[in-house]
Amino acid sequence: MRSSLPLHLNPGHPVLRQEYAVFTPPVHAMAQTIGDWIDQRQPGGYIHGPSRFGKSRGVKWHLKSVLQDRFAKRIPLHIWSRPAESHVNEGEFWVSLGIAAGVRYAPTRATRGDRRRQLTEFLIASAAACGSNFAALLIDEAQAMTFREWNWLLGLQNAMDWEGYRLSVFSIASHQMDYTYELLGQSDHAHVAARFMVAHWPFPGIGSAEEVEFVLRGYDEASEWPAGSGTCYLAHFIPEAYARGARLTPCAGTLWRVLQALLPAHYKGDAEFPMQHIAWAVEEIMVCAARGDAWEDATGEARWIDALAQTQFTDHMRLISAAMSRKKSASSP
Amino acid sequence: MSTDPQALLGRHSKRSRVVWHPGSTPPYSSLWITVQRFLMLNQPTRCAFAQDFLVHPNANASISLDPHGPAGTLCPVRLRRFSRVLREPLETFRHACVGQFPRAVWPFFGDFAACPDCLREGFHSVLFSFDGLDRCPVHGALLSDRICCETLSNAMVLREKSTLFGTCRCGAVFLAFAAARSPKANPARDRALGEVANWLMHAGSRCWIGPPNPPDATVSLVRFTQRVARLKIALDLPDAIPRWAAVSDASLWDPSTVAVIACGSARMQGSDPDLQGTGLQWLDERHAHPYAWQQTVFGDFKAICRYLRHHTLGKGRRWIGRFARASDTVAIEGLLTAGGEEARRAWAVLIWWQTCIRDLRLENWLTSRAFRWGSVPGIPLLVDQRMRNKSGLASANAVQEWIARWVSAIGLVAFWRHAARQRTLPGDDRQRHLGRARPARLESGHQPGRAAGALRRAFRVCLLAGCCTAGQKRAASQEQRLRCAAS
Repeated sequence: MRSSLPLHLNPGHPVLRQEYAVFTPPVHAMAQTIGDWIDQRQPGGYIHGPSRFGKSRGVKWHLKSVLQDRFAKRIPLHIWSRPAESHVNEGEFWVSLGIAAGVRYAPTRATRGDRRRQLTEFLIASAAACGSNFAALLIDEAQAMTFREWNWLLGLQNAMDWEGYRLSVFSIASHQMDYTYELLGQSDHAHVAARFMVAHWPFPGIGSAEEVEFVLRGYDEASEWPAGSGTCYLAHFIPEAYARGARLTPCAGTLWRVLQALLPAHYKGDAEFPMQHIAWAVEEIMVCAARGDAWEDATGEARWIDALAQTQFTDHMRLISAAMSRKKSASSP
Repeated sequence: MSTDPQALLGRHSKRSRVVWHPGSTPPYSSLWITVQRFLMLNQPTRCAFAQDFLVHPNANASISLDPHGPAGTLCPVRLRRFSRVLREPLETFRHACVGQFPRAVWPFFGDFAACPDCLREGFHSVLFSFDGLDRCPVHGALLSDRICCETLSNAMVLREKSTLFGTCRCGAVFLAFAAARSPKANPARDRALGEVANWLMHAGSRCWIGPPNPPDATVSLVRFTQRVARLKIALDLPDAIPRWAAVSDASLWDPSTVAVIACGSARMQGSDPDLQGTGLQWLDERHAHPYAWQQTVFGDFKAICRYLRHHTLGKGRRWIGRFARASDTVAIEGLLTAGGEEARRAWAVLIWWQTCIRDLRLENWLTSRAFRWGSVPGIPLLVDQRMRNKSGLASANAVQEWIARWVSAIGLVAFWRHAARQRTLPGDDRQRHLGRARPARLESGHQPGRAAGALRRAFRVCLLAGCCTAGQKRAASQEQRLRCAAS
């Protein structure tokens, strides 16, 4: 919610509601990685990366369409965002999965065996509807998965395998997932780790000025609202300036310099930045320009610094740096 | 949260899907097996299923698809919604329950029956309950309601049942999940059942064909089959004798031995899916008053008969009495030869009258086989709900009765036309087939209020071929003299 918006701005615009995701090079890379795993019929795989890098948004808004373009057909990919609370029993677990997949009778009263059968049949039906014997389950926020839940999924995968269908379980998690793999491997659940976590891929942040430029071009050109209108996001906010040639893309160098400058002292990680903070900063710049600020002023270096400072960018990078140092010390002999 | 592929799965609402494999329902599948497959794959509770798909979701009675149950032949499932959710065309459920067949053939459906082999393949058809089928046309197995240790019924098995459907209490699986997912296709079975289904739909969709007494539960299928075969031959319709029928003396209905009479037929309701499901209560209630149609069609019959006697025959109607008193084929041929055109026309009227009364069993049919009305897209009903009133729906019924009278009259007149064309063919077996009738009320003026009784009496007279009154004997001897003179 923003106060005193100009009249020409539609409050339902996805940028103002923050219900959008600009396509980024890391999202493209993630989709390609998952596509490779699907090609290889990997039983599982996990993607990990610091929070706020845009993993979930990329999955929600772009993953399916990219995979569909790549395979030239629908992919039976079911996405489950694992709730924060743990599941007390297996029945709750299947209900949660079923609701996420859209199974009509998932919440109805049934035994845990029936619920697992219900989800199995649903996955089989979705695979058959796509003309294959393959279905994929993508678990977001998988860092909260418990050992028991991994075992239940293993049972589901075995049940589908018995019916002649293949289920791949891909998981997306924050950096805590790194330790889960080792923990599973060193405990009695090595078979679970071997099934679901052998294939892995670190999700990167925005790592270069070129990638920043790619992101800003998304606002300038590769976006549209309302659908079919041909109006990109930036044109909706500043129609007159946009008509005169105002674009965000030339600001990529400035933004990249500001991002690097705002890194905390003694930052230990790579120079990869969270997409969410960049998006918030861009939104702030666009709203300021829409309110009447001159385009050159609104996109000056000082304004970018202000916009990023409001998002607590430096504090967030400090947390990432601390996590990096913990991980390095844990992995060192 | 979303699911892929949304568009390809059975879709219940925007955010929820059901487990189903569109296109997996074989032709002639019963609604019972489709529902059982749905219940197996989706595991809904009774309440959830009832809320989604039943016509009366709050009914506490068990959900039964039994046509002879308390609910009758009304389908308890909202088929249109069910088919939409399953992403199956509505045509898939065309032969899914007894209620979708013409009312005339309902008495020939018995209790629940299934073929264990077909059930194992995920298939069941309501046609297995048809009295004409004792064994599965594909597997040859005896059709029975007993599968393994259990006796199945038309009731839908819901989750409140202690055992899962598809598994016998002894542990044997008679319907596996794989079969429930995608039943095995069998073109031979489809052809065999298709023949039965088409015959049933066709037999019941002709307004002139129907069991002589449908309310009678002991009506004979063999007699009905013979009757349908006979009338189909008369109407020049194909497949007069179905292959499945156990008609021992099919030659009885050989076209060369019966009078071929083209009958105007009108599809009133039944096989045409467009004519079903009007949803108009006042139309369905028309079935409850079959006698209402009796007077109507009798009136038309009498009017046509009166016209033929007075305007077509004129003075030649005296030949009717002479034909009725003729004792054998030779005598009839003599009369036809001697009487010339007048006699032949009278002979045609006699053929027409006799066929209407005896072959078509007009009086029985009229009291037992009411018209059923349906709506056809594109053709207005002529009346709408606004014309309904609390005093008996007079205006609506008047229109329907008017149409019914015209349909009946057209049929009767079409009969007459063909009889008139055939009148020049004396000496064939038609005479033996027709026998000798004495149309008592054709010779003299009829009494309108007692027409049904008069016809019934006349019909009885024609059956009593050997019983002649003294007057008849006198008339016969007079005819004999006339014939000798003519020869």
